[in-house]
Amino acid sequence: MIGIKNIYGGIISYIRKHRVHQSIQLTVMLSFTVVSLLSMVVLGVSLYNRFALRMEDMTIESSKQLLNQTAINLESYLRSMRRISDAMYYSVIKDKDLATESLETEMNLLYEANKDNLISIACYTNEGERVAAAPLATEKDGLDVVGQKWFTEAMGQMENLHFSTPHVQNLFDDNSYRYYWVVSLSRAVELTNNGNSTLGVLLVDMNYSSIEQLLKKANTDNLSEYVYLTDSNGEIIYHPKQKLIYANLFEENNVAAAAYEDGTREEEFGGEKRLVTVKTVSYTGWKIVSVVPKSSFNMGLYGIRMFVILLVLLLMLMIVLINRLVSARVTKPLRRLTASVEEWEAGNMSPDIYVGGSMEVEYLGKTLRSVEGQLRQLMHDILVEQEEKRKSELDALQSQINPHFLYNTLDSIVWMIEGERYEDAVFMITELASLFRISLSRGRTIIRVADEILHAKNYMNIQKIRYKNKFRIEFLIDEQILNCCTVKLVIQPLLENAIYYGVESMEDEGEITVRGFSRDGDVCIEVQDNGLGMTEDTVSRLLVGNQHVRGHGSGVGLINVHTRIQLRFGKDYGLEIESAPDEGTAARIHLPFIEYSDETAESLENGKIRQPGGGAAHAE
Amino acid sequence: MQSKWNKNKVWFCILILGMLTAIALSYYGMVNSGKTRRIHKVSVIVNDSGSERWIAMRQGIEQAADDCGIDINYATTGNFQSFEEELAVIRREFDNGAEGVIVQFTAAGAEDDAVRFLAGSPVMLLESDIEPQEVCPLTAPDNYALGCALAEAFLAEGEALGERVGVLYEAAGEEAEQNVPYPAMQDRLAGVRETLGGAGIETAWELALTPDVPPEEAAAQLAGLPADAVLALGNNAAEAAVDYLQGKDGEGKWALYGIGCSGKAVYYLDRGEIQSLVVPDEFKMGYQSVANMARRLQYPLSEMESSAVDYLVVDRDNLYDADRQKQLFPLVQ
Repeated sequence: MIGIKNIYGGIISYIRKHRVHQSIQLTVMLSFTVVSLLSMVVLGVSLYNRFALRMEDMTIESSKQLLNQTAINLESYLRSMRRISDAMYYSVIKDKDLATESLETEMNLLYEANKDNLISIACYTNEGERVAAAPLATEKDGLDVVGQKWFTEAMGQMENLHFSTPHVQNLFDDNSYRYYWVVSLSRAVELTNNGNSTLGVLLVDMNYSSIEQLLKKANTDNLSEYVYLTDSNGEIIYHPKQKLIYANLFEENNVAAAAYEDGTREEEFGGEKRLVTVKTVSYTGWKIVSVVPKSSFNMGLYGIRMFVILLVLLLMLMIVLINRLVSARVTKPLRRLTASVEEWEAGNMSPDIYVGGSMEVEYLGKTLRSVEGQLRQLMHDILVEQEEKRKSELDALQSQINPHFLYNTLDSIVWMIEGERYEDAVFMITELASLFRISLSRGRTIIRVADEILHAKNYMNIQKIRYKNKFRIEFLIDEQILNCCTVKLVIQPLLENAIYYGVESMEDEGEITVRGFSRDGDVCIEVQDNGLGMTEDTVSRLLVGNQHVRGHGSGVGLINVHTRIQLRFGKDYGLEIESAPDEGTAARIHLPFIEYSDETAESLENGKIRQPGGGAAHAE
Repeated sequence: MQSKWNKNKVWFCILILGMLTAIALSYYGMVNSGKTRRIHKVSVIVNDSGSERWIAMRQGIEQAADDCGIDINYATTGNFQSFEEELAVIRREFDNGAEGVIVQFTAAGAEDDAVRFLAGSPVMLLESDIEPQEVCPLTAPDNYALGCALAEAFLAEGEALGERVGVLYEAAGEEAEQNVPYPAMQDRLAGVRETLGGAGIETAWELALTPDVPPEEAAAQLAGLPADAVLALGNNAAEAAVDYLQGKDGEGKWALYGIGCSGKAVYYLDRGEIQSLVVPDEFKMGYQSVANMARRLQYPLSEMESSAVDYLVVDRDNLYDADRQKQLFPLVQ
């Protein structure tokens, strides 16, 4: 049981493993074809079987009719032989006294009238002496008539006529060396001799060839079906293969068949099934047997079978072709859709997604087309964003080598050297160097907040000297944010704006405060001045417009800062500006709290850490 | 995906091709279902084709021809004088379209080229083999056994007749002059000699009878050869012996035992002129030879088989026994 289960499991797993996923067209085609084929085969087989049965019935009926007709013919023949015997006995022998009269004349007449069917007519006494015979012939020497079967049977049952089985006549000497096969009709007769009645035997030897010819007519050319004749004991009287049976080259089931009742029955003989019909012949008890081998039905039906198979195959071919066309037509939209998806898969970013066919396929096509469009747009947006980033950073960098700022600062340095204020000059050069070093930051965009603050300090130290300490600058930075990530060159533009638009025009000493703190998990760097301030309307227009418009002096503008922060960290971050006329301006940089490390910096450089909505994720 | 579709197309084409092939085959089967099988032509060549001794064999041949679909042509022949003469008839039959030949050779020796020709052709031998043996298949009785049976038939009753036993056999042409019997006769003669020898009897004389010798000459030859019994090894020999015995009584009349199957031989057995007749089953010989030839012609790659046939020993008492008369007497004359 376990073994069977294991085998079954093995077969199932093999099938599952090797089951090939087929196309929908093939599945549809196979389903239609299998159903049609099964129906046609069932129909074809049913019709063929019905036809075969009908043919069998007709053959049986035909053989019965043939048998009946043969029996009638044989009975008619035997009846005529009986009449000859009756005529000879009742009309001749009974009326003659053999002492004075001869039977020869009448016997010869009767013989001549029937010589086609007769070999001889003869009459013998009960001691075997010949009384008369026609045709006249010499008897054989040493002939034992009394011992011959026809004689003994006639004397044995005197009231009956006896028909023998075919045998060679053993009565007369024929020096033409001919021997005759005969069927003997013998009967006991009363012979009158001198008024005394004695027994004798009247013998009518029928020519066997007459019976043979009669039965040969019943046998068609097709020897697979045949008719034969036996006596009541099954001994063959006529068989189309009689000599073969005698030579043991052929076997027949004659003994069994002679025992069958009249009618048709099926028998198996010699490994072959056959239908046997038996009819008893009157007077003699002989049996006419018709044999129809079942294989002859098959031979006769072979052509029909081939025709049915041909028809089924033609229909199958038609159905397969039609199914293929129909399934191809039905599945064409799916295949076109699949082809366009394959094209997309192969790398064509602008494939022509097929939209058509049935409702479901059309819906799929439309959806795919929409998805493809969205993907294309997304990719375009990414490309644009990357380009913006690149351009913004390039602008920011370019601003750091603004010739005016550099020219003015170097001019101040020259002025200091000429004024022998060497310490101040060294300080200025040091600050400038630090400023440019941080500006470059070895090409990186993401730096520490501490470095950005230093950059701002460098900038303000330079500006303070240039502006002769017209303003005060204060840096209030929480230590916890110093090691966070920031985009470089974001504070300096704010300080630049605070100087140029805030405190430069003030009569009093201006105050610029740079605060850095952490709030709600984010980093905020605020640049506040107590300068002139701006109207709300001006504030609202600060962060819109052409971001590539250069700011006054060395700055790249607030838009650039805002854009670069958002490009790097997402739309949730950037620049906020609050201002009111005469109340100063506060510009707040809003960044995510991301601890600086080489890995996080590299990820941010490559844009890998992003929040949903395009922002950078909070790096842990 | 594309490759999978292409693979499906290939399978579809194979399916369509298979169906078309099946359609063609079934159409062929349907058209040919009513056709009868091809009839093959076979020639039968025997010595003295018109002799009545061949009646039983002809019946067997014709029955087999009917059963196996063979068209039989009986070559009209007289008495062959030599092996070459018979070989020429065989070649002529093949040239005339015979696909196979069934032949009774009356001479033994074959030359090499004749052997090669016979070995390469569908030829079936009847009654006896040739020299060299086993070149062609053979349908025949056991001729040696026939000789033995004949001698035994004589010994069963003939010892009372005397021990002068003469043997008549058949020969033809040059070989007759050298007393070389027909091939069949040689084996029969051997059987007779050994069986008689076993009973301590030697043959008194052995005479070759040739077909072209007039009956008077044959009778004159026989008159000069006294015997108590004569064993005739062939049908013609038996008939010649019977002709000689007609009208003879007393000293000139010997008991005749023969091998034969003609109506004449049976008649004289019935009359008591022939004491015993050994009758080979010539119907079966004819039937089997044609059946085996037919099989060979229908299946050219098959080998033609040899067949042995039985014989009966018949005398006047059992001549009309039911079993014997079926073999002895042809149904249709």
